[in-house]
Amino acid sequence: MKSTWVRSAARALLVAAPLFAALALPGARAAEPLKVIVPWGAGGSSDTFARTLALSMRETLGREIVIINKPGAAGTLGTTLVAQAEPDGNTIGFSALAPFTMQPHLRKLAYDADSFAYVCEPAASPMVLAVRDESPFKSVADAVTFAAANPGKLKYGSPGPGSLPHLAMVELGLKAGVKWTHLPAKGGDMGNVRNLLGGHIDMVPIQILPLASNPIRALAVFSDARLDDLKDVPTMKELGYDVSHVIWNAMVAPKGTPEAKLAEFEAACQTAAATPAYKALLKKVRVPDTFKGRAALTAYAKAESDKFKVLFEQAGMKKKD
Amino acid sequence: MFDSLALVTSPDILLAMVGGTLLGVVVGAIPGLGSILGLSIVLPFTFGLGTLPSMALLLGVYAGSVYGGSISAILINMPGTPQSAATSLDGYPMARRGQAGLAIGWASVASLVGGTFSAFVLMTVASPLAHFSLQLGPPEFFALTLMALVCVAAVSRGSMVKGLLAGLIGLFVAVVGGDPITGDLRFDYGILELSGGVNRIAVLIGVFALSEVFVQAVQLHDTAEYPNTGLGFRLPAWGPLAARWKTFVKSSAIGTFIGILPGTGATAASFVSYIEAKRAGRFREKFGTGEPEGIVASEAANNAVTGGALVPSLALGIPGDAVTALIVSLLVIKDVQPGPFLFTENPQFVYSVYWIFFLTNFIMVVFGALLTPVFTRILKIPTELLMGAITIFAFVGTYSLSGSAFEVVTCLVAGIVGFLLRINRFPLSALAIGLILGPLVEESLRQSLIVTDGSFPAIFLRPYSGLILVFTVLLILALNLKGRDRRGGKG
Repeated sequence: MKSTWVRSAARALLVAAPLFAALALPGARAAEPLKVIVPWGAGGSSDTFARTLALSMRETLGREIVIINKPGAAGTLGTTLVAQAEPDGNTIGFSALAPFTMQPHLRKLAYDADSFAYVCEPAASPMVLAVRDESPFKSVADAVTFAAANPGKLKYGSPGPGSLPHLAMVELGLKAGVKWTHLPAKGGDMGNVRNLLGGHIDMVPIQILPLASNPIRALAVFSDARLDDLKDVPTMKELGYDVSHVIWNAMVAPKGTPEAKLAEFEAACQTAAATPAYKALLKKVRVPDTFKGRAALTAYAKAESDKFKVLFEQAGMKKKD
Repeated sequence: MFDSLALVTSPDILLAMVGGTLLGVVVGAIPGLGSILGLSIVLPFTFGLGTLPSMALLLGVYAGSVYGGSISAILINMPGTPQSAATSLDGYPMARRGQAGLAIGWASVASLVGGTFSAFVLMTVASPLAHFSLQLGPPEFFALTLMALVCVAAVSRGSMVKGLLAGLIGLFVAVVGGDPITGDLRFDYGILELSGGVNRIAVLIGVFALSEVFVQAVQLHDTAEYPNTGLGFRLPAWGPLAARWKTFVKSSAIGTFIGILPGTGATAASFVSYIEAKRAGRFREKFGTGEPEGIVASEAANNAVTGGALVPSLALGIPGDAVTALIVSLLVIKDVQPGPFLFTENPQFVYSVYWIFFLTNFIMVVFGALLTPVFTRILKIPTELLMGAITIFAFVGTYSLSGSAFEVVTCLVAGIVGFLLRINRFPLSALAIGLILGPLVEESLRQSLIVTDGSFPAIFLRPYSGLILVFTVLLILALNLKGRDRRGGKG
């Protein structure tokens, strides 16, 4: 008895199904989730920024946002997917600068820095040149003087060849006219802090978060202006070295995404970057509260990519053809 | 210290621990879904949880997944996580003998001992140990990894040439991708996916699991049916346990120590511990044929890594691998800055984390025991169907590693290579060790040569690396003498 009822109901539903589908179609289209591809693993800094921004952007954009982690090949695997995605405003990407403006100069990729429409830069994390507390170097000049007298003796760390800290030190060495040696170590900033504390390297460019909780100090900051957090630490520019680097994070869309969509994303990103939840996150990871919109970021990304192209050549790293 | 125990037994923390551990065991047991994936699943939940419940959730998943990997390694010769690859070497033969439940029992006891041993180390000497570990730099890492490789050569069963060849294949696969020092791409043939290196988990799944399927397929007409007795969870008896106590202790210590070192990890620890047990264990002659001591060596070590890895993460704020990096970044987001000051400013928090970790190890084994009858039921599936299911799992699991079909191809190729090696009696464990230790040896050697300004002898002119070298040489001598004795005896 019951089973026949169930069966007939099921049959009715089956017949009606295409009808429902037809009804649902226009609505489903509008509500298609926005895919945000993060070319790094879950829990990393790009991922955390993206997820916190998504909390607010979901409401502003009125659609579901799905964060997709696609790590691999120094962030270029996921970024390739962004570059090659249909530019229909349903796929965007979020990452720090390297896959956009650095890796295209190192690897043969299906994209370059010009393959994206840059939407917003909601965070730019400063780098400082750090030494351990008991280091004899009290200033960048001390280190440069020592390096001039002992070419190649000083060792600096970085998270890997071709990373921003690596290039920053290559550039500083060139501008100061000294030679120092690169000792890359895995494990990001903290892997290098480990080598610094153990005395395996003499200095390393890192973000400012580890400064407070480790016996290390900053000689100079790679930003254009002094940081509110570290008022006593001079900038490289003040010290006479024209070296300026910051780890900027960007939301990008594939090039060709409609203007209206880009403007919508930019506005939603700006709103999200101003929410208390996002500001609290910046405070915890000790990243200053700054924002760049589409126009400023697009010009900046272009300038950065050009700068890195030259720097990679100077560092002796170039793409194999 | 004990008021923290009361704190961590509050309902929300207990629930997070139990839930996290259950998820961890299940995720660990399913091939291809490893610790990182489990942590990614629970990460969004931590946004709404307090700091301690979040830690309980993450630690539960972490410890549970490392343990869970042993279940599939034993039952279907397919390590659920790469950390358990060494477990399958003796666990699977045991299961084939109709002792699946008992093998899982051994793995459970070993995991419990390894996990709690490392928890105890964490509780007592985390801070001094972490500070000491800072002195170990690239030269010491090179000396240590070199010692591990030498041991492999020394204990290879059967043909030494075959062992070395298999090891070389592993080393070669590990070389693909970016040069660790210069960044030059090696053997990438212009393929983007290869520029990031061959996915080692996909290779391990292919070599260990898929190749087994191929072997079974070829021999299907003459294989003995998989015995489906002994499927209930069974703890080993006291006698056999006590007979292997040295391996329990040694493997736990090896695991904890390797856990403290950055970037080495549980997979390397379980293999190193397995090699050591095969060299010095009481039942070494039976290794590879279903000897519980092999399971103990692998499982005690890989679970001890979890506590060891927490030592520098909490005491210095320096995570050594992707999992602890995730835990450290979670703490930062929760406004807890791990590092030396954490121990003085917030000792209660530190003790609470210790207790959570300690209790998690027990919960994990309880779940293992409860779930064993469920998992072992898959052995009642006819071999043909089971092999089909394993193939599907291998591909789904490798696909999920990074959502890329390329990993599936990697796994397939590794499976074919593994099959050819298997039927020609090459030791697959040597290949795995080359694959796992290769990058560590290479990176630490290259870094060492930078530290010593290019001088090779200078690498060993440091106290700890020198000590390790002396120990390695003694080890080789001891093995040679033993070998000569045996030959003499035969002659």
